[in-house]
Amino acid sequence: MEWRNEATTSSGDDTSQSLFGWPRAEEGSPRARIEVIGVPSDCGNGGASGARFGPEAIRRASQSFRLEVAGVDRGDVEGVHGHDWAEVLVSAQHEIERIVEGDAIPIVLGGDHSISYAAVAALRRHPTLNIVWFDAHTDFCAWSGGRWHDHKQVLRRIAGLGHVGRILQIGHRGITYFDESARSNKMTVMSANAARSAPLESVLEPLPEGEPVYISVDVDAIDPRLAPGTGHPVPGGVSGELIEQMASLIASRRRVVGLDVMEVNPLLDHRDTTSALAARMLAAVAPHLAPFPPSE
Amino acid sequence: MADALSPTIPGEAAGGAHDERLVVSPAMQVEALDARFATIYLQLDGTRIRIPIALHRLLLEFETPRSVSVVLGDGRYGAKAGAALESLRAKGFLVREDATAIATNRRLLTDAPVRIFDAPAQKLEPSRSDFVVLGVAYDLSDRSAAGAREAPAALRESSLQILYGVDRHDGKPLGWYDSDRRRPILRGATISDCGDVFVARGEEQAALFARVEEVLGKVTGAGSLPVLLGGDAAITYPAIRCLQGRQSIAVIRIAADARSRGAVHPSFVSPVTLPAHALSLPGVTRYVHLGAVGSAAPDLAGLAVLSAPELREAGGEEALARCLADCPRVYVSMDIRALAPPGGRDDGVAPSAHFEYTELHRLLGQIGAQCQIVGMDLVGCTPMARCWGVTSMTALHVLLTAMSAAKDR
Repeated sequence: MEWRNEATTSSGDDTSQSLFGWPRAEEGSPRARIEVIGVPSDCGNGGASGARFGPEAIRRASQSFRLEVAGVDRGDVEGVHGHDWAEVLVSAQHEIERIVEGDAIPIVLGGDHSISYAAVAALRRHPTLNIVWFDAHTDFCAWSGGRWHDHKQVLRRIAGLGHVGRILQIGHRGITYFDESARSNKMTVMSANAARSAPLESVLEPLPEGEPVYISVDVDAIDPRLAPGTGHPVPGGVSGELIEQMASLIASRRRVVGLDVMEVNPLLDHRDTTSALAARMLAAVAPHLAPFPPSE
Repeated sequence: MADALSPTIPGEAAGGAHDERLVVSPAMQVEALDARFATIYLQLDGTRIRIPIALHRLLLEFETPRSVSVVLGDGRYGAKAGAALESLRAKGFLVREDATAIATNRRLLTDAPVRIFDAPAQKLEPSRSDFVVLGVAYDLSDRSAAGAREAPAALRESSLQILYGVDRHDGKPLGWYDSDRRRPILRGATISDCGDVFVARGEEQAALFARVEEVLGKVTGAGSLPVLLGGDAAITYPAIRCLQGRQSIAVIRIAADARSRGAVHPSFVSPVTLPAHALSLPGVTRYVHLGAVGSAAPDLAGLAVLSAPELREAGGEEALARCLADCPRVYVSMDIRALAPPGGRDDGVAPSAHFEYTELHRLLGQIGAQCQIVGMDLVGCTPMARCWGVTSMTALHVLLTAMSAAKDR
């Protein structure tokens, strides 16, 4: 199988598939309530290449879904493989800011998880933005404070952004170097075991009503037996259905202002099961995004 | 030239049967050669030596079969030439003309390119570590485990994502943290890695297993707990053979069904014959197979089989406890295929004949709480099968969980 990165920017050709078959954005075209942007980079993943093909694989897997909710696909951020990573991150942030400034909700397709920083930074118009972080890892490794971070450090850097309020981390598990459950007083960790056994509605408790929420899904939150196409698998994860249910509940009961799916790595996948789960999760959550008015 | 070997004493070539015709081993290769020295090695077992160039030239006299007495007859190689040739012969660089096989049993271990969790290396001597790791790259007893011979190296490579660390102040191992049980594990537990047992392709299984037993006998002599990286399930046998000689033990094998195509010779150890072989050892009191639906020898005295659904049902844990009631010491063999393969078709919701990772995690904890784990192995990992990243990381989690079950009691 030959892997090609065919996704294009809004100004490029339109030969590739868009998420859910939504129309491609073109200059001057009407804005939509939900706008999709891909960041096909795995520069922030020091261990495994291949998440750069995630946006393409998720879009391809999404073709079996046709949604009632309207969206637009703006293609991929340009120049990912022509610039240093810090510049790519800035470009991604600018692209996402354009979406946010148009009062649309961004759906960001990664790419490795370090990219989520660009999306959260682009949402600084919200004075208190709460984060829901589905992930097998806490992504809270030490960060030097420079312009660059990797996917193990990204949540630590995000937690340091002034507009970030509470962080709910869901799916943490496995053998680590030390107890990572108390890394920040902003963060509540719901382990994979706890997520399986807790009432579904418990995910709402750390998220005050009325405050905006950004949802980030690292696909490695799902058990790797079910979603093997990811670079840093950890056994004992939750099911894709549980993440769908949790994210959908949050999106239906809280004002979600952005959403991403990261770390889908088609090179490590088996029969595209991981990209299919990612597309299915987006299809489940997207209809819940539109009802809330923009910029409350 | 004679000076390079010894003072010349014509006609006094020392050595053994000088009339035997010897030839350079077909496995002999040159690694480096300059005006003074040659570094030569045997391709099969890695034996490597550096010799004076004069001795190298003498060795090359035997590129065609010749007797030592003929080569040394004119005395030009000096008095010590005979002894030098004997040494080369003892190391395997010179072999008899009519040798039908290349001797490869001189070496017990091969170095691993990286060590498990980057823990310290272990020499072939009694280990002072709590755990001593040994790879056995053998997969010829189980058709379905093709490629498991690559697992020791591949698992070590993957293990570099979960490094072994030592406290910079007190020198004690830091251990890890088990987020699922919310507790530190293996804090203070030392680990060392021997590398792999040398495997000569084509040799008899019994010869390899004798080497495994010999290595384990040496490195665990001071009480270190052996951790074998397979390989296939048969590698359990030399480990339990070694350990049962010290104290009686039970064997717990956690694996899906053992299937076999065709008959297995009774003397050959395979997953199918392993229970019978194990139970024939005087120090093995019981063999408990967890995760199988049935057994190839259901009437074997001392054998107990519990399937994953049986263990999952109410009372399953009590059933296991009863199985192990009179087994204070156990050897645990973990076949990663006790878990469903990644990317499988089941939805992860319906009850499975395989264990879930969380079930295996809990099961190992139960075994460690009830019994003293005296040794373990991890088998059935095949790096060339799909989704190796998932399999390897799962296997390493299983391994650390079992080590914790053994140590963090």
